[in-house]
Amino acid sequence: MAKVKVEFKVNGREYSREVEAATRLLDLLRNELGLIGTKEGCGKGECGTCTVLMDGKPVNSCLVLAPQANGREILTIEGLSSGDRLHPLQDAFIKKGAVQCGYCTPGILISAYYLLKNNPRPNRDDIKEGISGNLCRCTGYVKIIEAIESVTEGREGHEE
Amino acid sequence: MIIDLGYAAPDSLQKALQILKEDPSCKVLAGGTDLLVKFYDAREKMGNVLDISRLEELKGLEIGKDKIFLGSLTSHEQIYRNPQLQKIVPFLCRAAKSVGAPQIRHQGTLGGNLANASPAADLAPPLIALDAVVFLAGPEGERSFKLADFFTGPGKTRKNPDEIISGVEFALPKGDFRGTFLKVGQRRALAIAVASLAIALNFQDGVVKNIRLAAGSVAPVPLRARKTESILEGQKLAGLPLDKAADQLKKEASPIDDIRGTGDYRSQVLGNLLRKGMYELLSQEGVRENG
Amino acid sequence: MRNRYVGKKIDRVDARDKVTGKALYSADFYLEDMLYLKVLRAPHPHARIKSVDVSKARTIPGVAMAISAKDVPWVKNFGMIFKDQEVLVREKTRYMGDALAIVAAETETIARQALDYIEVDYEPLPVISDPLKALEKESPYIHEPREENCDPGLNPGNLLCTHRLERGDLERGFSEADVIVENEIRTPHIEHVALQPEAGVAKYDKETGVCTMWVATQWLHDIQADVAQALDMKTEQVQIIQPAIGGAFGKREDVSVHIIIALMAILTGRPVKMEMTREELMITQNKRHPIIFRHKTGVKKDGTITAWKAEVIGDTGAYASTGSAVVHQALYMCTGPYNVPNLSGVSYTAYTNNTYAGAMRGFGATQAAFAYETQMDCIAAELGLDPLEFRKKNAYELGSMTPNGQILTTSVGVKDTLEKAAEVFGYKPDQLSKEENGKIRGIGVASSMFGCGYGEGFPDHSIVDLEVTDEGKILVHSAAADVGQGILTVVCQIVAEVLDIPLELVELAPGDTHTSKNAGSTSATRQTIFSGNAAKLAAEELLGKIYHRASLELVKHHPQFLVQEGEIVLQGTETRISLAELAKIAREKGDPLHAEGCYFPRTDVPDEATGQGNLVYVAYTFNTHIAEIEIDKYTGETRVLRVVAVPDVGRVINRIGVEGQSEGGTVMGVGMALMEKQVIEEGITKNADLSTYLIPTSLDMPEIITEIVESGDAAGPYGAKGIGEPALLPAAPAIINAIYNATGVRFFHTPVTPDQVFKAIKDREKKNS
Repeated sequence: MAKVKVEFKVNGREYSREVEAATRLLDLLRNELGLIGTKEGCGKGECGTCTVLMDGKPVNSCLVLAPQANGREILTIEGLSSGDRLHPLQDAFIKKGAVQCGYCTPGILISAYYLLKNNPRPNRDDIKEGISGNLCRCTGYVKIIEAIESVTEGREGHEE
Repeated sequence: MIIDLGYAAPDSLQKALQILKEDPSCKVLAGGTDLLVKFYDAREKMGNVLDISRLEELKGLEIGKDKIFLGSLTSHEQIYRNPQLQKIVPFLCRAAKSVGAPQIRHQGTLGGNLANASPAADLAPPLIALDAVVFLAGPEGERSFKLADFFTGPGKTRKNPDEIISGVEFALPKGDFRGTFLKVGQRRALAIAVASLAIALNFQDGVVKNIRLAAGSVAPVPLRARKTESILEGQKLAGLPLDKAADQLKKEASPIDDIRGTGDYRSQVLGNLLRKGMYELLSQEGVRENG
Repeated sequence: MRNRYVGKKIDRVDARDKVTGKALYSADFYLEDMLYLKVLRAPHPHARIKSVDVSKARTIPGVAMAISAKDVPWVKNFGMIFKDQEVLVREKTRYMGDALAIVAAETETIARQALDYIEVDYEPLPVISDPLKALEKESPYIHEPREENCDPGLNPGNLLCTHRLERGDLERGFSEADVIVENEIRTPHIEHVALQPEAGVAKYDKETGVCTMWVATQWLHDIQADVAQALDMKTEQVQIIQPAIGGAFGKREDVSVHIIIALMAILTGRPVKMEMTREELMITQNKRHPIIFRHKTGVKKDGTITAWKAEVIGDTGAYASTGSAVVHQALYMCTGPYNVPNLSGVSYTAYTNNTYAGAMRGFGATQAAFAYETQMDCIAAELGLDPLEFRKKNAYELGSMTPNGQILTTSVGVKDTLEKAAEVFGYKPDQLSKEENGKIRGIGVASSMFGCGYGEGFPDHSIVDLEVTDEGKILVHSAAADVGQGILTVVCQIVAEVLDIPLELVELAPGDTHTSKNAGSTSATRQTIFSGNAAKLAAEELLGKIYHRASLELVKHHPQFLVQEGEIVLQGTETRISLAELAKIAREKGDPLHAEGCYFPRTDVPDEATGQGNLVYVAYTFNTHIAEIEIDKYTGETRVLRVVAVPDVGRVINRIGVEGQSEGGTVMGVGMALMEKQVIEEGITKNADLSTYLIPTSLDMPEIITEIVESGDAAGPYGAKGIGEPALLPAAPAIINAIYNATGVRFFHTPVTPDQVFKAIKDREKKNS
C-alpha cells in the first residue's frame, strides 16, 4: 500500500517517516519513533493519556491522523525534561505525591505545561479546568492540582 | 485530482472542492474529534480522507461593525478565549467552553461541530439564538442557510456531499442585548449535553423583545422554539408568563430516552432551564422591570 | 523512638520514571519480529456454538495463524477459585466476552481485519441477565448443574455457592426491638477504569521451554500457576516479569491476555503482543458484582441495635472468578462496624449471562458499606436520632464482636474516626438542609469496616528477599505488585528504617516470578501488612547478619559498634567498614549478606453453618466520611462540595501514600454515588466506552480533607494496617445520605443521577402541596 510522507519535528528533532494514511499520530510516536511515554487509554479522546502539544496546543494524539502532523511541531513527555534536569512540574509531581500508577501522568504533565505557559498564575479553578481532559483514577486529582499550584508563578519553591 | 494515498491535504479551498467533487464519499477531516472516534477501532475502513485543516480560506474570526463572521475552522477554544466575543456574546463563549475539555476544544472546529449535526452540538443553540447563517462552499459556488433550518436530522444537514461549510455569520447584537447558555450534563467536563438551552433577547423598556430560544439534545435536531418565543415576546419583565412558556417549550421538544437520560427528564428539565436562564438574565446588572 | 522514614512523606521510588515517560507498561514492550493478536469474541451472550471456521482468515496475507478451540483441545480451563472459564469456547458462549478465535498477524490492523473473515455458526439460547431469575429452579442452566452444594429450591446450574452467618437469637432480638426497619438495597455493575488497558507481550524459548511475558498482574505467582496449568506446562516454564502497572483496583487480579499471549507465543514460535481496546476490556474483563441486600434491623428507641437479618444476592456473571469470595465478604461485612448481638444472614452467588464479576476495590465490602450505611441512616431517621450520634452509639470498641464472631482486641478506631470527622467538618447534630437560590445543600455521614488480608484461614503470606550488593546497596526482591498504590516505596522505606540507611541505598529488583518469591496478591488491602511485615522481618534478619559478620571481622561485641548510613562504625574510633566491603568478605566466607523475611499469620476458617470463627481477619481498617453536597433544584444535578475523610490506619508508613489513597478512594466514591454503572441489558453492554461510562473529572472532585487516626497497635509493621480499599468504602453512602439530608428522598441504589434526583424533588413537592 502506498504511504503518505510525514515530515515533522518532535521534541525539537526532525523526523521523516512514511505511514499509512489511517495511522494515528499516537501510533507514529509510539510504534515508529519509540516515544512510548505517550499512552493510549481509550482511543476516543475521552481520557487524555495520549495528550501531546501540536504546534503548541494540547491535542489527543489518538484523534490526530499522522499525516495531519506533517510540517507540525510536536512536544511529548520525553521533551519536557532536558537531559537529567527535570522540568519544575515533573519535580513538583514527585514531591507532592501527584503520581500513583503514573499512566495518566505524561498526559497530565503536558496539559499542565500548556496551562502554565499560557497562564503562569492560574487559580485552582483554572488548574482544574486545564486538566479536565485528563482522567486520573488513582489520585482523586488533589495532589496533581497541588503540584501544579506549587510551580505557578511566584510560588516556585514554596513549601508548606 | 483524486486522493491517491488515501489522504489529501490541499492548500486551497478550490482544490479541496475539486477533490470532493470527484470523490464525494471521502471523509472530510477538520479537527478529527468526531471522525476518528467513529473509526477508532476500524481505521482501515475509514476510506479516503480529505484533510481541510490547512485551508486558510476557512480560518479567521472577523468582528465587524454590524456582523461577526467565524470561519469554519475556528476552534472551540478560539471562540471560548476570544476577548471580544466574551464581551459581545459571552454565552457563545460559555457554550464553546462547555465542549469536551481543552484537548477537544483545541482540536474540534465550529464547522465540524455543525457538519456532524449532533442534536447535542453545543455551538448550535447559541448560534441559532443569534439567528446565525451558515455558509457552504460548493462546486457551484456559495450557498447559505439560516442555521435554524440547516439541520434535518441526527447527523443530517442540507449540505450536499460535495460542499464544505465555510463559516457562520450573525449580526452584532444591538441595544440591551442579553444571552445565556445552560447545559445539563452528567458531569462537569467531557460531557455531552443531556439537554441545553440558549436564550437571546433584548430588554427594551421593561419588555422582552426579539427573543430567540434554541435547545439541544431534546429533538432530532438543535431546536428553535418559536412557539415558546411568541409567548414571551413583547411581555413585560414584571410578571413574565414563565410557567406557560416552560410548558410550551416542553411541548415543542421531542426528546428520546438514551444512555444519558430519559426523554421525560429532558423535557422537564428543559422547562426548568428556561426558568433558570430567564431568572439569570433578569437578575443581571442594569435590568429594570419598568424600562 | 523517633522514626527516620516511617510516618513521613516519602517520594515514591518509581515516580521519576513515571514523570519522564520512561516507565515501561505492558504495551510499551516491543520485541523483534513480533506478531499482533486479536480475539474474536462471542456473537451472543448465551449461544450453542455449532462451528467456528477460521480457514478464510488464515488466507489473508499477513496472517500467521488463526485458531479456534478445536485446534487446541489440550488447553485447560482457568479461573482464580473455580476453573470454570475456557480460554477458547468449545461448545457454548456464556457472555459477550467469551473468546471464539485468536488471530496472530504481522500488524494489528491485519489481525483486526482478519476477524471479519471468521465464520461462526451458532444457535442462540435464552439469556439470563437477572440473578434472581437465574436462581429460580426452572431457569436454564448456564453451567453444568452441581446438585451437591445446592439449596433445594434453587437452580443447581446457576447457584455458585451459599454462605451463612448465625449468631445469638434473632427472634428474641427482634422481639426486644421497638422499631424494625426493612429495606432492599442494590448496587450495579461497576467498571474499574484503570487507565491502562489490558495488554501483554510474550516470547517462547524452545530451547529452555520457558515462556516469558511482560504483563501486568496483581499476583505474579498465582497468574503464573494458572497460565501453567491451563497450558499444561510446569510452573517454572512460565515466567512473568512485572512491568509498571497502570492502575488495577481488582481488575488485574483476573487473567486477561495472559494465557492467550503465552499460548500464541508457543504455537507461533514468535514473540506476540496483544492490546485490548477499551471497549473489549469493558465487555470482557471482570466487573464489580451487582449485589442485592435485603436488610431487616431491629432497634430500641434509644438507638440500640438488637437484631439484624440480612439476605445477600450477588451476580457473578458468566464465570466465578473471585465471585464466591466477593459475595460472601459482602455478607461477612453486612452490618458494618456496629455491635449487633443477634444476627442471621445468608448469601447466594449466582451465575448469569452478564459480563463476569470479580474483584474490585472493596471486594464486596464496598457494596456492603453502601447497604449498611443506607440502612443505618434510615434507622436514625426513623428514630429521629442524629445519624452521627446513632452510629457512635453502636460503633465497635475494644472487645466488640464482628459479624464473624471475632472479638476485636486491638486497633479499633471507628469511634475516633467518627469523632474526628465531626470535629474537622464542624458537624452539628441539628444541621438541616438549606436552600438558597435554587440550590439545596445537604450533609451525609458514613462509616465503614474492612477486614485486611484474605483471612478465613486462607493461606496468606508474603516473602521479601534482601541482599547487600557489591556496591553496598540493599537489593530488594519482592513480587508485590505496585499497581500505583506505592507498596514498593513502603517496602523500601521499612528496609531503610530498620537498617538506618539513606533511602537511596535501597534498590528494587523488578518483580519476576523467577527471581522473587510469592508476595501474595495486591488485594484485600494486605500488602502494607504482609509485604511490609516481610520487609521488616527480612531487614531485621539482615541487620543481624551484618552485626554477626561485623563482630567476627572486628572481633568486637555488638554494643561496641553501630550500623549506620551504610557503614559499620566502631564506636569511639575511626574504624569503619563499608557495607560493600562487608558484603564482599561475607560472600568470600561463604555466608553472603542475604536475608529472607516471611510473614505468614494464621487465621481461622469460619464455621460453615454459622460463619463464626475466632480470628477471621488479621486486622480491620475503619473509615468515616462526612460529605457536603449541593443539588441544583432546576436540573437535579448533584455536586459534592466537600468531604472530610478520616481513616483509621493503625500507623502511617508513608503519609503521602495514605493521603493519596484516601483522596483517590473518595473521588472513586463520587463516581460510584453519582455516575458509574455499566449498563448490561440481556447480557449486552450499552456503554462500553469512556464517553458513556463516566468517571469523575478534575472538575467533579470535591474539596477533600483527610485526617488520619493512628492507634499504632494493628498487626502490620509499626502497628500499621491497610488503606487501599477502605479509602473508598464510606464515600458513596456518605454522599447519598447527604442527598437524603438535602431532599428528604432516600435512594436505595447507586448511582443517583440528575434525572432521578430531579424526579424525586418533583414528586416530593407534589406530595407536600
